[in-house]
Amino acid sequence: MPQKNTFLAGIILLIAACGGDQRPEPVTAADRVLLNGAVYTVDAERGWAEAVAIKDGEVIYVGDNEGAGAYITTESEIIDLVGQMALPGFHDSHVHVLTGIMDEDECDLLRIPTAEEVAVKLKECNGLAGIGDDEWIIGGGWISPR
Amino acid sequence: MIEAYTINGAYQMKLDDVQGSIEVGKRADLVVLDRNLFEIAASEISEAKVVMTLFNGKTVY
Repeated sequence: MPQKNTFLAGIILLIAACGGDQRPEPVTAADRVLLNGAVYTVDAERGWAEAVAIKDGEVIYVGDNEGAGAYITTESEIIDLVGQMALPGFHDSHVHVLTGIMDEDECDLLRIPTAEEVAVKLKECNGLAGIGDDEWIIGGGWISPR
Repeated sequence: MIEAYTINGAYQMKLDDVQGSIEVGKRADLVVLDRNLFEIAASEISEAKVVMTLFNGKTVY
């Protein structure tokens, strides 16, 4: 019963807000907060940080532990990095993104076993691309069955 | 080297405005390692273990 839960959370937040003498209400309530990390941000203007707050899959705070406190509510999941290093998710740069996209428009000869079938496929590709006799058909992927 | 595998990889995908570094407003894609790569010998980097991986804020490893 998600609606009821949301309602209850609302009441809890209201009660918390009425408390008044505690720390100020969170700027934004984070879903998850990473604390005590050696966070290598790869942000040229920042360098290293201790804490990261996350909401809806997005980073909403980067900085020291103290600053992260403003984003923590009873709903927030706290992850103690115990000094471990955190860095941005890795990107493998050698994945041939552009050629992968271009291959989609090329004549795919993968798993076509005989010369005759290749010839048929090439004619198909020619027709699909609507190119003339003096133009190139670009494609590949053919592997000799022998 | 770290830049090559983070912000520059994202740049190649034209996604460096949403990924590749830990900044407010970017996707919460993070890797947590068991050691600080700047405090160990280069020969030890290959022994570093991934402790946790976050993708869009969720733990996927």
